[in-house]
Amino acid sequence: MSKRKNTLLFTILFICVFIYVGNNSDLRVTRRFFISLKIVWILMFVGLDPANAKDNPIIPGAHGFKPPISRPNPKFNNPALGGARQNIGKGVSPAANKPPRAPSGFRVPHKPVGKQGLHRGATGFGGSGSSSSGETIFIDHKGMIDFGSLSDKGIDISGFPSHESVAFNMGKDSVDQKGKFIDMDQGPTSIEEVVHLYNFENIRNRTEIPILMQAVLNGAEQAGYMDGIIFLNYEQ
Amino acid sequence: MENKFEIIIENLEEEETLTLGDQTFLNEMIFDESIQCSIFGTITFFEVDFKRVDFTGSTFMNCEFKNCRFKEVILRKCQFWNPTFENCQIERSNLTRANFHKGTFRNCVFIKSNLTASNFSEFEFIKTKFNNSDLDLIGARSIKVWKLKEWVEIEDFSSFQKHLDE
Repeated sequence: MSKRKNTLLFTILFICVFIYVGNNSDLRVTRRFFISLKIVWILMFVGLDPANAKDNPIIPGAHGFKPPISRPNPKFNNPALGGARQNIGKGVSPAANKPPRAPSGFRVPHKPVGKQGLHRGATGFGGSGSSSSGETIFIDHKGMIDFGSLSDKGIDISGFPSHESVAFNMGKDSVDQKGKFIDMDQGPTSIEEVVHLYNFENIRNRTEIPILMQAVLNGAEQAGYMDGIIFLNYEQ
Repeated sequence: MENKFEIIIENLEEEETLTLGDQTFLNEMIFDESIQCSIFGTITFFEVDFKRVDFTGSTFMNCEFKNCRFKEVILRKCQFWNPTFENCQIERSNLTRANFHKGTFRNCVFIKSNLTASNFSEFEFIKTKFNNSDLDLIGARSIKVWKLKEWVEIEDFSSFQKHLDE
């Protein structure tokens, strides 16, 4: 895509997101501006493929990973120690096989991003990157899996927890996770900077998604904090 | 020795997520594999050696690990629902931000493993030791530890770590 097209698309997306965020939150204008800027930046250049979600080297979690091509990995270099050598930068383990990247270093989105929902109070997102204002948002990407993929293979899933209880627990756990890394070196300074992104891309029964969204919110509510939740790919 | 598990991995299509269930893997060695974001349901691993296997972001439902050895294995951000670990040794492995729900560690030992920010809920620890392992920021909810022939119920993080260290 040419630079001019990129610029035009960026501008249009920015305006749409800015208006959307304005209508769905009570954030200040400057904060709304930077959040919108980040969202558009992510949409344009990083995409929302989990593999693109950037990990924070301090928070020892994998925000982004991609179902890899499975094959022996001779270059495996003891990344199990400390986690410090993994997912630094792009959030992909060195063991993962990386798809081609755009020359810029950002991955070109593979597919259109699904509908995104900002739960009221959500503070926006950006792959734990910082804006020009120096403000940083820390992202935790949570992809729900569909147990139906197991029953398709004839696996008995009757003893499994329901998707709803999994979603509830995810919502509940997220609140603990928000507070864990506050004030760590290069970590978030407050829980408002931590955003949990719930991706329903893999849920095949789309009518189930509103129930799962509610379950996530219920879990978060029970744990005492409902802000900073974003839903992805929830359209039916 | 037939390595059923490795054959399954080798037969995966590109970009295909490994989804496995209702199987038993017995006396196998699984080395140098990257199977992130896999889904395992109702699987028994008996005397299986995992070495340098990357399971990042995988989900294990109702899986049993008996007499297994994990060495330099990445279980980062994995979800375990109703797992059972018995007589397992987990060495130099990365379990950061892994989530464990409703399961048991029995006669297991963690050696130089990193469990930072992992989370345990409704979990039982029986004769399980943590040697030189990183337990910072660990989360615990409704945990029971078998100590001195009785269950000790633990609710908050700090006492959880204290019990594990002893």
